[in-house]
Amino acid sequence: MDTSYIIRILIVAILYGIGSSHIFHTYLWVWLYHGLVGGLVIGIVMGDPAKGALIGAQLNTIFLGMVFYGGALPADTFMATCISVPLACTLGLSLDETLLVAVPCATLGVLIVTFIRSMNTAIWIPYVEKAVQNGDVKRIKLGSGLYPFLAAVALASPIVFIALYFGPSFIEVVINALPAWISKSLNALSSLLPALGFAMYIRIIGTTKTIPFFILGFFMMQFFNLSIFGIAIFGFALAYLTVYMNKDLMG
Amino acid sequence: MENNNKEYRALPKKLIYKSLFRQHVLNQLSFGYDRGYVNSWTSGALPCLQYLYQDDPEGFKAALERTRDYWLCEQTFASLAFGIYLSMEEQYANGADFDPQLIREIKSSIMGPLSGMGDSLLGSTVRQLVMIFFLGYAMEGVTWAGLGFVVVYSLLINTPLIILFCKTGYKYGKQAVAKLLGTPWLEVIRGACTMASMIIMGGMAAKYTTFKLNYSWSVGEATYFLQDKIDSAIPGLLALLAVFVYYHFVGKKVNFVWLIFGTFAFCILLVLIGLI
Repeated sequence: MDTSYIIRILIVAILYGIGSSHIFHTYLWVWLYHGLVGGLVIGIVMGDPAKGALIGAQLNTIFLGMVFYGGALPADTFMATCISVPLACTLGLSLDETLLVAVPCATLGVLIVTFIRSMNTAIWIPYVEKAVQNGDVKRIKLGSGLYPFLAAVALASPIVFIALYFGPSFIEVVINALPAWISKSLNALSSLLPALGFAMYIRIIGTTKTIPFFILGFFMMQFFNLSIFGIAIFGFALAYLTVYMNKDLMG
Repeated sequence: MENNNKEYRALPKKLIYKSLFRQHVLNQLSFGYDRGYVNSWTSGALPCLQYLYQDDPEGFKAALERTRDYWLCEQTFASLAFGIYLSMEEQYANGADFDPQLIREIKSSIMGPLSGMGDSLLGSTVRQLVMIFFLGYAMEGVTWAGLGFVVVYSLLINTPLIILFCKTGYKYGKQAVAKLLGTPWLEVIRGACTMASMIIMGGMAAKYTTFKLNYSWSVGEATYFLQDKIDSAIPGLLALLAVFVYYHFVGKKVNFVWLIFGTFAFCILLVLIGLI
């Protein structure tokens, strides 16, 4: 394990710590926790942006239906990216093998990080509370900013670092020992999982009235074999139509 | 307060932006089940409050106390509440005659609607749609597609909205509540967005759920594939079924992890039977 690898995974680990702290959430979290961007970032760190972006895109698709209402985290998509992209780059894993690693990471990640987060963040609310009562501006700033940030990074980064440090050797053994029927099942699994993401999405957003539109879009794609841009155009065109018709109703 | 002939101390624009920026940077750094993201509100409001109450330490403390209410809201729409809050604090600090409790009440009452709108309009719809658009390219191997998302969504859509909301909230103060939240257009637009995203999600589901059976049989010289038979009748039937099977289980609140392992077990079963 050469130094350049260790430096790279150190950066990945720190990036994970920063991302999981939720600092500058509006931007950093939106970017890092969606494989589309997160995969690209980690791929750049590992020296293979193309691979990172591709893996990230796959992960993003699987978790597409996940909507994070009020900060709730059903799956730690960034941990999945941070672990699977470096492993795929160093071990030269196929896409399906990478997904086998990534998906458990997302769920394990939630358990670990939720625990850390609730401990860490709950400390700082009373801390700032006390500072407010004393009118202590300096402590308010520190307790709202630097302290929880440092604590989050210090608690979350080591997990990713350790996983990536010991990961490659462990995973390599496992992957090489896999019989054919497992890889076939993996193939099938990764082709089915996106359906789960979409199901979650329509569960949250959809109503009995709007689900027929999902089916409409589905068969439009099947029969017309549209590009993403194509289906988007039709989607917005139909949406515009409803607005237009409503406008008449509203006078 | 004894400032009858004192000039109206308005918040300088730079300070408002500084506070807004600070509130966003610190937004979800601390979280407590009893207070939510309150710390970012307190620390974010700090520069403005310090300015307004620079020669009134008692007023400053009281203002700080007012920031400590439970706060949980989608960040972009929250900027509207933040602008309104700053506007009201400014008016009160300059001697306006109303009970400061009103500031807390308005803040807490619009928190809910703003959060709902923010999550459903932005987080679930606009953001997903922009993401899907670039995801399509990324899946086909365009490495830098993610950058497109960053530019189009975060820079061209999200940031102007944040600034617009804060400005509008600040300008109209408490009137902003009725002005923006009361229009019927909001519902129409929300409905349209939902519909567009359902159609597009349907298309995506068809494109990316590539599950195929691999079962064939021979009659004499010809080989027949089961998947072909299904496709000639209803293409993508299996994928659609998969979506609705998951839909059913998600509705029964089955844990996401179990669903994944369940699917894996199902796939193994199919391989062993010989259907894949």
